Amino acid sequence: MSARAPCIVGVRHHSPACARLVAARIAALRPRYVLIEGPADFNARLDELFLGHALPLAIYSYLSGGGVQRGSWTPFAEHSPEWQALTGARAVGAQLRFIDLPAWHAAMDDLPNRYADAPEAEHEARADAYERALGERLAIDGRDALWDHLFEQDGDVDTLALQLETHFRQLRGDDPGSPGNAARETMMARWIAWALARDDGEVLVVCGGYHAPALARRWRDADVAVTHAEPAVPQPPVSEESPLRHGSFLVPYSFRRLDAFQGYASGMSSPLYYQWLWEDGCAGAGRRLLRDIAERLRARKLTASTADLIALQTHALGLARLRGHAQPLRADWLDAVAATLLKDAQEAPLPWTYRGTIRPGTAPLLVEVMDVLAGDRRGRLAPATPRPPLLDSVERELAELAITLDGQREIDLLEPQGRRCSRLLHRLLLLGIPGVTRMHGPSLALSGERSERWRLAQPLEQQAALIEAGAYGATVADAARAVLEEKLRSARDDVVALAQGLNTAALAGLAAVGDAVLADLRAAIATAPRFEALGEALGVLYPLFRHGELLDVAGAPLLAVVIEAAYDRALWLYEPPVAIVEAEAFAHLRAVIAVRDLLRGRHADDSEGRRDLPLELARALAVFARKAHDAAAAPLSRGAALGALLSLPQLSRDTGGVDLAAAVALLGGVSAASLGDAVAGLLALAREQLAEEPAFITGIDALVAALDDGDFLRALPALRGAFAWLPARERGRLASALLQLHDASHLSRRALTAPLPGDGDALALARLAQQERRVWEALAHWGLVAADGEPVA
Amino acid sequence: MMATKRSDAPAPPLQRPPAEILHADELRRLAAVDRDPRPPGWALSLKAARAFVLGDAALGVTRKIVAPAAAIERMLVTLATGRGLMLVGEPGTAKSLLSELLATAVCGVSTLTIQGGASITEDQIKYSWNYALLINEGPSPRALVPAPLYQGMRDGRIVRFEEITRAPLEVQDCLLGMLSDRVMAVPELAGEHAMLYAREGFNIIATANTRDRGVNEMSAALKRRFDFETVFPILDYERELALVQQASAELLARSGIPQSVPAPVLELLVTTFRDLRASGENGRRDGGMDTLNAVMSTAEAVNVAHAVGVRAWFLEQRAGSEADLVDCIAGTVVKDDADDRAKLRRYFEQKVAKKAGAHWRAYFEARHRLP
Repeated sequence: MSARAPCIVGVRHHSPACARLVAARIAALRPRYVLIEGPADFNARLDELFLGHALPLAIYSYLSGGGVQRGSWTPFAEHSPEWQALTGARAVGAQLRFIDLPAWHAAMDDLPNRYADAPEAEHEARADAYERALGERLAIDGRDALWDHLFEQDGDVDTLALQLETHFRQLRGDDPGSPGNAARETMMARWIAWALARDDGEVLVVCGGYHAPALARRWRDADVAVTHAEPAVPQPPVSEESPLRHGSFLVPYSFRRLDAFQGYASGMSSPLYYQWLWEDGCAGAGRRLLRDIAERLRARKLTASTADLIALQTHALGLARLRGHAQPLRADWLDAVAATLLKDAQEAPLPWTYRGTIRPGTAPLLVEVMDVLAGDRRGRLAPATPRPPLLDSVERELAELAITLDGQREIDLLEPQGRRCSRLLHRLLLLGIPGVTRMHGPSLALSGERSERWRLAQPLEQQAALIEAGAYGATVADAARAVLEEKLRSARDDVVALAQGLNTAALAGLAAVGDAVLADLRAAIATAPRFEALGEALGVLYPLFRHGELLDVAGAPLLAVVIEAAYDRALWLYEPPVAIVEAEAFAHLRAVIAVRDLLRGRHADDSEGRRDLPLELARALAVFARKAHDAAAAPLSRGAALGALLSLPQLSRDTGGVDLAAAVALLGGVSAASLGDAVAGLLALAREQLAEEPAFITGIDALVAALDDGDFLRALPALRGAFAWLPARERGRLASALLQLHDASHLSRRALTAPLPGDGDALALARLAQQERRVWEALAHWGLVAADGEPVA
Repeated sequence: MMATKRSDAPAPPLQRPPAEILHADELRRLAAVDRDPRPPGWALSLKAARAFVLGDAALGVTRKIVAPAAAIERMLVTLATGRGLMLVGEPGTAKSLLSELLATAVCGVSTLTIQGGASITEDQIKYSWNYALLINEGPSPRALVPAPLYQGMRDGRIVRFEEITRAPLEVQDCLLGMLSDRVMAVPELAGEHAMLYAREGFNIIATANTRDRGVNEMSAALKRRFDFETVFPILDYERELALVQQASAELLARSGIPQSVPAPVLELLVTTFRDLRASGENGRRDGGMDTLNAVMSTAEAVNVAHAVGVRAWFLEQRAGSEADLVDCIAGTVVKDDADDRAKLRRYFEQKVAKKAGAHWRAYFEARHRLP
């Protein structure tokens, strides 16, 4: 064993200060070995990293097959410590190795970004508590501000190294970490032991700050067998029946994806700012920040006068002095922006005080400023780089299904082969690959249409688009899923867009998304503003969930989550009494129907013992019952609520019972003008229970008969609308029943249901009849005719 | 006879001493150790002022308000750079307390206060006259009765303008000159007294609440001269809970009640308030609640907690229960707004019904007590 100890540099990924430290250490130490936390299965191809790419780029590692789909990115920007370690090691001629487990390893499960800040949840809580206490002491809020305050100032690297080491030791303590992290650390420790055992020069290790204290202990441990051969990189399990594909490729990356606000709430946000910091130091970064913010705000016609900018700079300098910074840091600049440029009360907290996507209600000015700091730099791979696996995957899948990207193609959706073709093309469509266009086909995944027509071509830009899409995943399915997740997230609180996104998911056969996306979807639906939109969404989603077997989406947890949230929110929005404008009436009823169908379906599930959709029925029934009794509610809505209860007799039995009498009573209680609305609500929801029920017909007939002429005219349009909910045959039967009621069964039902003669508009006719009657009354009043219409002698 | 009797007896304590009296000791301690440079006209350096507001354990200075450090720092720097400071936010977010603390920290005086209102006039802001003297000897500095703004400019102090948007626009605009040119013209006087130049240290802290928006919108010219700082309700659940717990316990003790409100009831109270103001975790609006018209501030939550304790003790000599909480929320928060009543009812029927835990169940069961 060598007497030498490794130089372990714990870093925060994407921190320019750490990058500076790594570069300085390599230059000073001229190590023989540089070991970097990165996917060890990429070691054979490290040369690919130096082909002359434009950064940022990422190593995308994937594993798929056998029901497992895993993908993970290892992103690099110029200011990443890992990148500086790579280039620095090259420059001094050191041996380079990635020493972490491959990304497909189970230890990396649930870690889509290797260089995320928090390697595990338990540690997150601990780190949070420590950083909070430290922040309290230093009067600094938030991890990013604290980090910048402690480490991102221009200064001497030796002090920085010492401070970083202390900080990371405090964060980790003696925590052994999760089994996954322990496995990763064993692997890394083995590599360190290997390099030391060669005993031919200094060994420098660059790893996440979380791992550094553990590695400093563990490389000596007994379970880290010292070998003279390189530690073996684990291979994925080989199985005959479901071959696994795995690999790692370089893909172009972008600052926007690096930004914590956009991605998985991990890593350092505002990558462009840190790039500046790397290039120019604090003062230079500040100058570029001020210039770029001013340019952007002026381009967007937001206020940024010279006086404002002076105030902004003064304020930033003042904050820096108060906080003990030699030059303003990111938080100082941003706080100065908030203090000097905002001229109104804010609805949302300032975006740099929390992690995750920017919240709705944030001032447009702040959104722009955050976008400036994130930057729009995109990486580009050097021409000689091996192609991302997505291209091969596309070619292979197209070949398997014998699809040539040329001309038009008709697809029969009833054929299993046709469905597979359709699914692949829909995935390509999601990826935005030029040359794939759907000319014709069902808009809803579960509509009755059975064919699709596609136009396929191979335009010049197709290859480029595929390489770019390669950053999303290695297979068409993975990449399409990643794009879908992005789309779902960006739909935000637009529920209809969300439902469409999920419909696309069904068309493309993508039934699962990540947990973070699910949480976002749930939050978006929880704030959706319109009941009608939710109803529309439920009307699309529930059938997919329950009957989407052919599309492989039946029972999908994704749909279950969305449906559950939408159901909750729909009930919430349905309850308060609001007026319903005429244009919304149909959508409103459709929405109530969607909720009712959901309840019915859930009830059927219960009797079949299915438990995959946890909805509470009682709450919905209670809402319907309250709505039906609420005199302030819109009659349409009340009628619909009562109708819903009537149409669910097996369920509503326990809620105090509703019956026909209640329906008639409800109708008796509303004004003439809204009688039609109430009837429409009832019939839309419970026509099967009501339309042929003599008591209901008698009741409604009595109500109509009791209307005076004026009221009748007022009630007529809505009443006509209401009976439009009955199909022609039922309308006919209703007509017969009415004729019988009035002892006119000798007449054909056509007498009531036939279209009016000529272009007869019923309302116009009724108005004319009323006018005529008025004329007669006037004549009688002046004694020109007798009251019975006979001329006066 | 009466007069001597009164002077013999010790004066009863002040009902609410201003910050400079209440925290006189702390101010003295801070000033004694304060070595950092002070902005011109300031009583403390920025760091000492921050410590005064946010507390400093080493010096035995207590934390006086729950607010993000970064926000306090922004406010102090704004004041130090000579721009006016405008605190905006929902009612009950401790804007006035904040402005009092800042004024005390900066100049040691928090009482130069102008209370905005519909009836306020320029006289009450700048200066008026002692009419007896005015008639007797004509306009003279002796006859001038300075109002807070005049005093603040003359002595280099912070002037507080509370509820500025409740003052009529034309009255607000009389601040324009003072804020940009730092000079007040007194045309009635001649010579050196005709112009009052502000001394270093003069500045304005205004507060405005967002519920009054639109009553008297501020002019753009005036807005430009202020830096705006939004004061949020406390974003952190634990902190808010702790604050309500502590403040309500103090109030109850002062009312002579030996019982504090049990923790589960306080949890219900704080959660309900946070739900109803639609600030989920960290101010994220993800509850999808419709906000009430009523003010759901932390201060109001403390009042409700106090009411719960008072009610339970004086009526039945016991600790507050879930049912008391429902009664008090109904009575003190919703008042007579029918719309709020319906929203509160819906909150109970749909959201409270879904929560798990015995106290939530009891809370839900007590919903029939809602008006």
